Amino acid sequence: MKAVRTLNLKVFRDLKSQKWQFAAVIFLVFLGVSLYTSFYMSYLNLSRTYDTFYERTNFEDLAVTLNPRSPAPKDLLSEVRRIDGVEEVYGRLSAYGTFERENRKITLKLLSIPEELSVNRLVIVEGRYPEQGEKAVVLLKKFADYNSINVGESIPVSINGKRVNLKVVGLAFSPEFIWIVESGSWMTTPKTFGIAYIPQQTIEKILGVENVISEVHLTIYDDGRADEILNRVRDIFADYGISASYKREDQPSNKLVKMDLDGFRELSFMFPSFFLFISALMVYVLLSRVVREQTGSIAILRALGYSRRDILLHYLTHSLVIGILGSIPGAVGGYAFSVLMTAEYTKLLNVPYYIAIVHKDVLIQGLAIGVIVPLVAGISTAYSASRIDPAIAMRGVEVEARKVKIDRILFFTKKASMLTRLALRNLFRSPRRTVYSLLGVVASVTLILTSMVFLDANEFAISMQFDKITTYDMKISTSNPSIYREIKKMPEVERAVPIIETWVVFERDGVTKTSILYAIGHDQDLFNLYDAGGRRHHPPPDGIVLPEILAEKLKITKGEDVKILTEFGREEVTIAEIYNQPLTVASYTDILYFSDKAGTDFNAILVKFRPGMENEGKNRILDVKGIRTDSIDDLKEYIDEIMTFFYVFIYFTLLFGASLGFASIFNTTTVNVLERRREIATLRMLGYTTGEVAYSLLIETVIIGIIGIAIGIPLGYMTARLFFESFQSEMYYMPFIISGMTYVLTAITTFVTLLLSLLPGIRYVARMEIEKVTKEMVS
Amino acid sequence: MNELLRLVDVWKTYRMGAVDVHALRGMDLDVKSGEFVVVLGPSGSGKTTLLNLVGGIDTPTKGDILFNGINISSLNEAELTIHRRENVGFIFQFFNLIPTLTARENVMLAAELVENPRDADEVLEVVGLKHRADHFPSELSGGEQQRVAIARALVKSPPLILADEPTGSLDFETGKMVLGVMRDINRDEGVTFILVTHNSVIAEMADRVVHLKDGKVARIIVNEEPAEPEELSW
Repeated sequence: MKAVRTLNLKVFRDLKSQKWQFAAVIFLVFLGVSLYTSFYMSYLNLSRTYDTFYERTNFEDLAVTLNPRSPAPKDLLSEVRRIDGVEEVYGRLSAYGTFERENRKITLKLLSIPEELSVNRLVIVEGRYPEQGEKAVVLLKKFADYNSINVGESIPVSINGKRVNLKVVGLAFSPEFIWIVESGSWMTTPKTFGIAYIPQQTIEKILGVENVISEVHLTIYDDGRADEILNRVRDIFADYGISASYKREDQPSNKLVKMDLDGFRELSFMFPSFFLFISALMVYVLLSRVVREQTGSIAILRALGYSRRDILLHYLTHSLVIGILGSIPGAVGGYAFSVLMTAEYTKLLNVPYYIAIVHKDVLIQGLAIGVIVPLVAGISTAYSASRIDPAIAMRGVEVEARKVKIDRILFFTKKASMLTRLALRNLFRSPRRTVYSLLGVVASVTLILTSMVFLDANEFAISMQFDKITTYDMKISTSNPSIYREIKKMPEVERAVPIIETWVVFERDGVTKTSILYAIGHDQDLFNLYDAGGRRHHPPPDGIVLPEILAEKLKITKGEDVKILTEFGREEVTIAEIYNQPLTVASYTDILYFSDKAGTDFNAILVKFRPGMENEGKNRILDVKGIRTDSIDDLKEYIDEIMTFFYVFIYFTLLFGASLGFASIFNTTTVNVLERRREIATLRMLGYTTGEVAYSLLIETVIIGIIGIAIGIPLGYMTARLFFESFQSEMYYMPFIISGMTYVLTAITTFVTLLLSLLPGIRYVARMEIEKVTKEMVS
Repeated sequence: MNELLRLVDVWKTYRMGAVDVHALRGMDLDVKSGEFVVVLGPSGSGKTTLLNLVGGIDTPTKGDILFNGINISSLNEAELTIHRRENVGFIFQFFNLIPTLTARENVMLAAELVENPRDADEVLEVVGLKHRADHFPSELSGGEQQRVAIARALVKSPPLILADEPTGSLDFETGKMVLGVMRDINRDEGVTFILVTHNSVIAEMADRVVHLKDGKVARIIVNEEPAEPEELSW
């Protein structure tokens, strides 16, 4: 429309005249939109990456694994195939082998593959599938890369005491091992644990068995019948000692993948809400100031013949421009960031590729949110601008005196200096603006505190895990008493403690939940039991300690009995205690209590070496045949590697939180200074120095800061708590810990940010041309 | 000359807190097309209220205002907006230019409101400011700003221009120059002017002088031989 052309030009000039204030709001809209698009697109892209990977490889719906010591006849697979609803079945043999590389003993889980894989197919990225009978393996790509193993190389693997040279003929990715987690184990590191696929005939020959399997993986037609089919498969193999059984949703790797996806989805809503909420308040504050300042101009526009609608649209255009300038780069940047995030994140995983497509719907949603939020925020101001009566506006705006009310509130300041009283009165001069500044600080404190709580909780959990809970140096998986005796006698070994470590399925009223069960000794100190609050516990002499999250899901309380299924069979146990442990969601019991039920004294040994003899001790144990070892240091190193991504993310959040506070206070302070420029110029004319005027501004900001922190800290505490709750899963438990220093650091960060945001306002005061400002006409 | 404007028993009452203030108390006035009318009166006599009502930025409490025979006192908000767009140009004491727009853009701001506006540069030339078209108001002197305001009023080719104390913020020489521009437009283009002022000297250049007192027309003086602005002295 022709009539709005010059008015549009005015919009850009208005924006230009207060470019930094508008830039601050645009920046927040940009952050809000880019965070939304990046997280939500990452969520969708990761979902699609996993889904296509699963689809391409025909990922299992159900799995049952047997005790490797008692494999079942392969013929039983035909019974599985006959179950109504079963689509494809893959039976395999599994065995553990070890090999040494760069002075490290690496455990290899060997999984057999038939001539043609129908379920959990591999994506070979280098090399080929091995021929049946060939002494060859396909290794997981990341494991091979981590240990610098190349295709064509032969690795000497010890399997059941036999040494076999296995040629690496291919490198692959498997849908089963996006995260390499073994059921019944907490975490593994590619430094000491890997997966190798070996032809069925080859492993049978090595193990001296024929036509047996120890795992069944299958796909089904109807997900609704998963439980029923799983039960039937379990029944078929019941006589062979089932060591684990799960549906796709409980498959260890998939469970972690889904947990992370949920995190991405949560974040895509939580973070943007903060930024967009504060940007909305800032749009209101800024636009109100523009309208107040332009009351005369509005009257002129109306007198010239511009309609109310023209004025309404004119000021809404300011909001629209903010929205467009913030959301277009926000959506584009969000997409770029989502590609980067998806790429970096998938580097941590075992996936052959990642999908990073543009989700137009998410871009449109991001753009729409980024445009709608400022528009909605600007509606009331634009509307009031359109209702300005030109006849009244041209006479000048009357400022309503609030003296009586303010003085009543500020009775205690009578003895304070004039500048202090002025600062306090200014807080009440535009109460709505003060409240909005306050909300900006509150949101900033909340975001900073929530991010820092993650650091605290993570630090606490990691230090609890490695300094207090697992104080051993090495874990050796074996149930051989002679190996235990041998290890105990080693000169480097200070202590060796047997434990039982197994997966456990709890069954109650048709609900089944899986976790790890540790049966540990009462008096040992290499594997200690702590609750999430950091208090030491001992395994109960009778019964099991259950984590709260599982107790909630199973609707079970202390003292009740529950049926459990472990690799040692079915039992009924009493729930002795319920509490969460930091990091791991595990169940605990006393080894004396459980070894009776399990029919075994132990299946793992925890070892603590004498100080200074760790390396010799490790090397000596690596020479022991037929065991699998896990070193705590290797695990720690691997966790640190994974945590790098997490820390980068947290530091970004901290930065965003601080910029939120900066942008919010910067805007309200500069709007304050600009609106009061005549008053400030008068103060300067009277003889007040820039420093004294700055002091007055500082008092206002400090008061807003103190109140903002006072409200923001409990709110941040609650938000973080809520956020933590949503992050808790059946696999990991993040303890909610906030150290005193975190509160102090949050307050300091907030204050530093506030003071920095004050500087441009003070600079303006210092550079103000006093005579010019005092002579300005009020139009 | 045809009658352009007629006010019949026009009242305007403002509510100031608990008190009713009568700005106009039954004003009657006729203005002919092409006239240069100067309205004189002390503060509070209703001068600005009269301009606001005629300009359609305010509505009377009672009475009729006929513009070209149309009663604008009964128009709704949208119709009044059209009246302002098509029939009236405003000139104010404090120029009231949009500070973020250049001289030309300020003129175009008004031009874009009507179907067939005059060329912005042409009207700037009429007021002698074509060479300053790309300057922002802050880069112009008071007299130049007021001439831009005149150009802005003129660009829509309105039959009536309302000027509220147009020389009030200007020095003597600049004021006379601005009045000269207005008089030229009135004579050369036949645009009707109603100029409100405190300054009785300006009345000498008017075709008719309307004296207001207490919201009413106290007297009307017809100047048989209006003075040229250059001859004025205050």
